[in-house]
Amino acid sequence: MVSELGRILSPEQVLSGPGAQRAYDCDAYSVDRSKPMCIVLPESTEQVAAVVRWCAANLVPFTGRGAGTGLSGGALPALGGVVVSTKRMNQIVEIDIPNRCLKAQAGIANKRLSDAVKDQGLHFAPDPSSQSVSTLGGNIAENAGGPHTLKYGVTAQHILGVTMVDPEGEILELGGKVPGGPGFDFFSLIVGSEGTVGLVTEAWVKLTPLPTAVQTALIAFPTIRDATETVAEIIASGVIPAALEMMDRGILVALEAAFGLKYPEGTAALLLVECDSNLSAEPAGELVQREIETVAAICQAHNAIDISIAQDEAERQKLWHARKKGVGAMGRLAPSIVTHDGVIPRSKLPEMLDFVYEVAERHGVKVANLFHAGDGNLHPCFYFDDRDPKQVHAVIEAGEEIIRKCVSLGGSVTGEHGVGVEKQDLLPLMFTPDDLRLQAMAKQIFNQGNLCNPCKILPTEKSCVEHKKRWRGVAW
Amino acid sequence: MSETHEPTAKEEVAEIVKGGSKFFLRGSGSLKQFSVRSEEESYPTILLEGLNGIIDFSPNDQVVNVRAGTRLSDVGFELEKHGQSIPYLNLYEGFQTKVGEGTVGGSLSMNLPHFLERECGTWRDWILGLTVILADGTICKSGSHAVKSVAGYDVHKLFVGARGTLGVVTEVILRTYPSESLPKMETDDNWHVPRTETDRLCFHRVTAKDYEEAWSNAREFYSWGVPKTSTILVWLPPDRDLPRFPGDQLIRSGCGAKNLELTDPIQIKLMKRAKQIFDPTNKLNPGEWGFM
Repeated sequence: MVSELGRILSPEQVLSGPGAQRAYDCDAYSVDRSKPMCIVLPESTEQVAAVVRWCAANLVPFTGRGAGTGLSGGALPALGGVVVSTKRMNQIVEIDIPNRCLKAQAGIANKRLSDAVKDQGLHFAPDPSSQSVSTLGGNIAENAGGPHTLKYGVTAQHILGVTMVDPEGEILELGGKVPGGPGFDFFSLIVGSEGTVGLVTEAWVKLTPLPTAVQTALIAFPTIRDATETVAEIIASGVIPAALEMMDRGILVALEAAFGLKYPEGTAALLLVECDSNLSAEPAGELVQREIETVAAICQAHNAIDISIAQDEAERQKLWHARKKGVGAMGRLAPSIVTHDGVIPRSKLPEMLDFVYEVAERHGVKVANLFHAGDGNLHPCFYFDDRDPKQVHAVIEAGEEIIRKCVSLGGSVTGEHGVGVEKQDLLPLMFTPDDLRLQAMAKQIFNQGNLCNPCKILPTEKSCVEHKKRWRGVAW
Repeated sequence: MSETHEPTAKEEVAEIVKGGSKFFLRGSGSLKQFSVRSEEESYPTILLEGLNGIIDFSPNDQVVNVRAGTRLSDVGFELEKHGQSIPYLNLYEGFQTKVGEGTVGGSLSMNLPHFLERECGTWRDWILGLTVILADGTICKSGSHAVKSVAGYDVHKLFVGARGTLGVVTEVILRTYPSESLPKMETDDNWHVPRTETDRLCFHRVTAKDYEEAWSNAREFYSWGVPKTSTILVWLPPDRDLPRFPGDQLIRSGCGAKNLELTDPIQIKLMKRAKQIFDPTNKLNPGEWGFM
């Protein structure tokens, strides 16, 4: 296999051997692992197509991979086979400033897209926390979110066209520079399909004007309830902040331990609120000022003990530390962290957060929360010692209970991390067998076999039962 | 005149679909001019207006779950009591089309461009989930009430713009917008030019760079332009076509057989495959896409 693929590409574009296999046997969801036979590093759409055609002809499974920062096992080569890495496909193909769009290869890091057009006052709006490394292709596959999706939308809203290699190795071009063409919207199916309907190799992305005015506030609350009720009321007031993030006491303790960051005494929760506008400068300033004042008034009415509003960019960055450094700081508290990703309708936040703490206490596990409160997208982080089977068990049970509650409140099992292999068994909580058949039909439009990123998303993939057992045997 | 079914519940729709072989679907009929159904054939019609009313609306979450046959104006009226709206509603207000009379299901199935698209997106951005009756009568749902979810494939979005050829949409979960925050509509207009009965309405979308030139081409006809999305709505005489531009889209190119001119072979191939999977016996809205 290695030598055949080496002939199709060039020998140095194929990695194999135990070291390479180990490096590519999982993504950031490291609970499940499966070794690929080899890894290929194509440099163009044509090379990807050649590899896929070879895989299709030889019935070898293949799985796409960007930077491997996915959190649900989307890039895990479940049935082995070939990992198609986009590492060498990291170029910007064309920048079209008058039409505010840009075409890039799938392996480019998200942040490089924004950097390339910063001087023209534009940016690529989706900003997952991993944006300095996570790739455009990976963001498309997972329909990545981020703190600013509340106002600007998730990845799907910012992709205008894609070049994709389908599971038979044919190159498909869909969409282009203008949205809204006639015909079925296949695009919306491709974005977020976790690499199971083909490999996206290039994409036209929408560029959004950078905000001309920004106001950022960090607000401290004496109780969780005060903070969660504030979130629901801000949303209900009609103000749509660019970001509305929440951090609880567990995170603050970690931040203080790790970075010496101090927050007002008696703080049970922090809210980070950012309002922005990209209208022309003058009305933008007034609008954003008015919005942040509305937010501040709501916070005050909910017993805020401290409201800090950034006066300049340096202060703004400092306020954001509470959010951006939170996960890293958690690493100091325990050897292992499991982050969940449930979503609920936003008005249910107060009820839901109470439930999260109650569950954690009942199972005797430690939990900290930092999350996209404005979207109702929870990220309860359980921190524990994975060498203790009892703790592992408690964490898993607590997590499942939380996800079940999300679904029962009308929410979803995953807001932005994806299903991958992690949440397959949870999908039936949301969907009946008929609902899942509908999803399988949609997948079938592109993928009739089981070679292109097999054993992902749908819990009904029969040929994967054995593999599931094997992985789960390790995890559970 | 063929038989007309007037179901009032999704279960009834499922029974009707299951028991028959070909159906035309119809909402309020306000977008009839965009239909390309063959005039020689006549099949039983399923009138979906009886499936109406809001199932639930949570103003604090800005999410509404509504039956597909509900009129946009009725949804708008209920939402506005809480200062909210679906941004599609405000578009044609005061204009001389009847889109405001359309139904939720019909409007999302036709997915026509509108004036606030750049700021507020369109149906594919608002739809959070739906319930649909498949060609074999199965009742399925996709999505949820969450404003952000990546749980499985976004199949609900596939029904946006599918013109009722993949399934019968019966319920739709949509995000709503605070009315106060909606931007003002900005248009170029050219209404003084007379138009005739035979003129056909076309939607032409070009890249931002080409908008000025495209608008000047449209000026001799009865037309509107939306500079923000570089979209032109123009009534063209039967024998006239608009000059095309690189990377543009003819979103609708008129009435009748000329309505949809899909030329991209990949798009056509995928659509045929999707139809084969979702509706292999061509039961739903036969003829609505000529080539299928």
